[in-house]
Amino acid sequence: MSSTSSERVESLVKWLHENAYWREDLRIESSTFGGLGVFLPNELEMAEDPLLLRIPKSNLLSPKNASIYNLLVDYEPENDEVDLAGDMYGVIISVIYEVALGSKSPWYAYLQSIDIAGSSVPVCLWSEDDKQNLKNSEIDMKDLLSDAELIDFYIEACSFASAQKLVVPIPEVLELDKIAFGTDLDRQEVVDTIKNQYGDKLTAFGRYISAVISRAFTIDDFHGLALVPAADLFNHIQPSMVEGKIQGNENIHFVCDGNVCDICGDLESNVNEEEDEGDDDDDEEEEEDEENSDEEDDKEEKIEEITLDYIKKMEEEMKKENESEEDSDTETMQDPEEVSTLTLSEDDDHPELAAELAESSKCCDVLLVRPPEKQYSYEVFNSYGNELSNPYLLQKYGFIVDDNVNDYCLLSVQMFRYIKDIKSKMSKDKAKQFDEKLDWYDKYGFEIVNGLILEENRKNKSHDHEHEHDHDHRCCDDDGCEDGCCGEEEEDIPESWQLSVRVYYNGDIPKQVYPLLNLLDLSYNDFKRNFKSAKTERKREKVVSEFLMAREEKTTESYNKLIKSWAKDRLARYPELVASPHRELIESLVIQEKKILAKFIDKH
Amino acid sequence: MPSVCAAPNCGKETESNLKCPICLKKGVSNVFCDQSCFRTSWNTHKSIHTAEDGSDDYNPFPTFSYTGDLRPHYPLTPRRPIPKHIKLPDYAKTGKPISEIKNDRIGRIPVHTPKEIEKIRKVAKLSREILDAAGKLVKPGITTEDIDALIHKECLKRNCYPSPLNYYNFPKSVCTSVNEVICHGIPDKYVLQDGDIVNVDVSIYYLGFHSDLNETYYVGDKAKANPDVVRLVETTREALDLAIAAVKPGLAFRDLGNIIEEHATKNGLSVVKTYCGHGTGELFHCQPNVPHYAKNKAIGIAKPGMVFTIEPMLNLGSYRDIQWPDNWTATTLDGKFSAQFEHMMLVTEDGVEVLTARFDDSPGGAVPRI
Repeated sequence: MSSTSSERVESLVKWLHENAYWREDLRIESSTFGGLGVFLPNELEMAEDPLLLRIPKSNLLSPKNASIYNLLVDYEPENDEVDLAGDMYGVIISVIYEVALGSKSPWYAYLQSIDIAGSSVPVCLWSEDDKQNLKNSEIDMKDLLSDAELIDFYIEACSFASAQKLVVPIPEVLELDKIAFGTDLDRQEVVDTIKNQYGDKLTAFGRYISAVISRAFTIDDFHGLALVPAADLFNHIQPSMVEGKIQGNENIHFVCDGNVCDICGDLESNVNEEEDEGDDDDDEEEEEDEENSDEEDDKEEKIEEITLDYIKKMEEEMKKENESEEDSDTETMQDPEEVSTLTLSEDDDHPELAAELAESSKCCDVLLVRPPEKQYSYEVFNSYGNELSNPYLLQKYGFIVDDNVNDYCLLSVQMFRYIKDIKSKMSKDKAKQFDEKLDWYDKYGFEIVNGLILEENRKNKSHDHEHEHDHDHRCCDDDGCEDGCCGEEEEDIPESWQLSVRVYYNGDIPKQVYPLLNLLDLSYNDFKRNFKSAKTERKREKVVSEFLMAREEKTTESYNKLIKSWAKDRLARYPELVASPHRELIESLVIQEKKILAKFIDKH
Repeated sequence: MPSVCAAPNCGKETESNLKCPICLKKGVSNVFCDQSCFRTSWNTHKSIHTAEDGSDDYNPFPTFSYTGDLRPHYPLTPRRPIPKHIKLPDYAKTGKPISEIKNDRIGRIPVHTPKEIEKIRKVAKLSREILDAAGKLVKPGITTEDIDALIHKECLKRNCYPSPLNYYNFPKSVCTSVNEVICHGIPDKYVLQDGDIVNVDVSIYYLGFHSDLNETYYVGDKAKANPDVVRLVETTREALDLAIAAVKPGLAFRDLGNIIEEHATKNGLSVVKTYCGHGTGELFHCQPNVPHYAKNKAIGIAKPGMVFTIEPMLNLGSYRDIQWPDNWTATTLDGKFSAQFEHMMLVTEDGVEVLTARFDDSPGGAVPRI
């Protein structure tokens, strides 16, 4: 495109004024934090209206709002694993098709502001040299180097595009004319053709993925993920660690009602309401019940005759009800949280937009929660997630940060090698018995250990030396809140025992490590006698507490020694870096990981 | 003898003896299950009563600020009965189109099978016949209720259910929209005047499918001699034709609005935004949603087998609309005239088939601009 960046910003702002509320004095300019950023003229009084952006959900670029949505829904997948209408896949495909429409897309002005060709290439499509350099890194440990899933998605996307070609032209990035989609294809052959002949298209597709994934917000149960014009312009600021706790530094929060009917998208579902209505008679009775309970005071009995007096009285009552309804309407309108919408609805140029913006439940908001600072030239920052470690930042947003407090280094590989060593010195039967312990731990032990540790942490809250990821993770932040964590403090529990052996950013290791090592040491006789016979949750808790949680100082020391050897082993396994396209970034990533491992080694 | 409850949101048979005393005075028996049915339907029911002062031509909303000269003329005639053998849509009894509400917004645009399309063609043809009958009737001196009576009779003659009847408790069998009324006008005692325009919007339900079409007719020669009115009506007619010409597989529904608004703007007219074209089929209204204004964000791409309406409403003045307190009648905000035309069409393999196309002898039709 020939338009300059400032022209693009101008048309984006124009789009925003036609399709959303965008605070007048916000400026979109290039930022030292990368690309464009959003700035305020100066430090704001927080008493001011915090609303920076409000956009009706109907104006988001979500799969359900995209022109091709009916085609996505009707499409019968070649590969059942890939649901093209679903969340992330759906947004990506929708964006590809909207971009292909050029100026005919209602989101043209917005899409122009995204530098898709300049977006990062997903790590899993990096060169073999890059991948070689990433061996032993956390990216490798988290299995983020495999391109299988991405290629499956690509094949399905191309197959969809091919199936629609009589109806909608195939977007260039999805056009693989040497592959006969719709016929019986051998997956491996297709993969080979793509890699050998369409590498550039695959990379371009990868850039679309990055561009979209790094920008998408979780909206609600109906829209799922969507692009929110302008909300994605805010740059990321990383959290800090204050007294062992992660603290967000963002200036804004992204807010919207997530709990809507997933079928119709409304807060109050028509659909589910109707669902209960199978039997008309029931419904009628319910209505009557309501009616009667409303009129509890003047218990209306079933009347035998409607008189003119009755009608008169009824009309008066209905008039009163109407008035009180209007009253309550005005009351809700004056709800302090809604104040800003009142000023919005005065926009006479766009009355339909004003009406949409007045219904806050059908909009997404970007709210200022913290004034921007002079040291950043009053740039307004978002946090893309205060819990994201570098590997996930890289995967989702294409960048890493220095000193990421969420980083940690897994020692799972070393642990499994250790276990393998132990078992290799055992007879077949003994090794089987050893596995029994791990199976039990998998089934019951790990969860119990987590429970006991949580309890202990709660007790020790006052003097807490432990690393504790107490995320200031707000509901409906960037990634949404799937687990109802709002307001609740969240402790970092490793997702599985296999991944529990790790070193955190500050050089600590999870408390979960020691019980696991105790288990490995536990004699089979002790295990058989105490653990296998524990049939109730309480008994199992008791044995875990007695045999796995408790240990002597000396044991802790020897365990730390063991882990130290694992950390050293991992350190030694980083490959010599060769020249590769992302060598610099990889080096920075690796240095940070090495520092973390070194912290544990130095401590013990 | 059980009778059917007169509450349009109930529709059940009842043994009750509870009757509306006002109707009774006129010798009409309107029975309600109980006072709850009476109460919840009162606002609709009372529209068939004469005024308190006994007047049989009155304005039911005297305090409402009407934007133009047109007023409602009540009382309405009572709901016209449907013989038992006619197949009813799901909302006929209670007013709630439950299947439609359930289907709403799931994003699927129905694609009909050849067998279904055969049926839809039949239904569409009948609906054209019915509209044409009304078109022949339109002249100065008849009331919009006369049109309703005729449409109802013509529907029953063909074993069709008039789809508007009791749809969300709409009281009549057709919508008649006069002058500044954009759409959803309720037929009443208003007498059509020379110089008026009236839109007749016919929808019928037959063989399990709905068909939907409308036309705006000039009333008398005075209307045809008014350059503004002719510009309005003819531009709207053309705008619909232009939009139809763009329909083929691959059409993005959102593009139709650009075509319509371009033609409207060129002729100094505005496009109503509140009301849209829609899919039809087993449901009266379903996906796709077809806005008529430019730069809309309609969802969906046309595929062969889809059936939907385009029904642009163009205004001489402002595009903005306001609703009468009857909760149906939509008029222009500035009281200036509004016209509408509607066809129902089928997307074919290589283009479009206008299912509700005019016959050679259909009344109405284009007149030259002045």
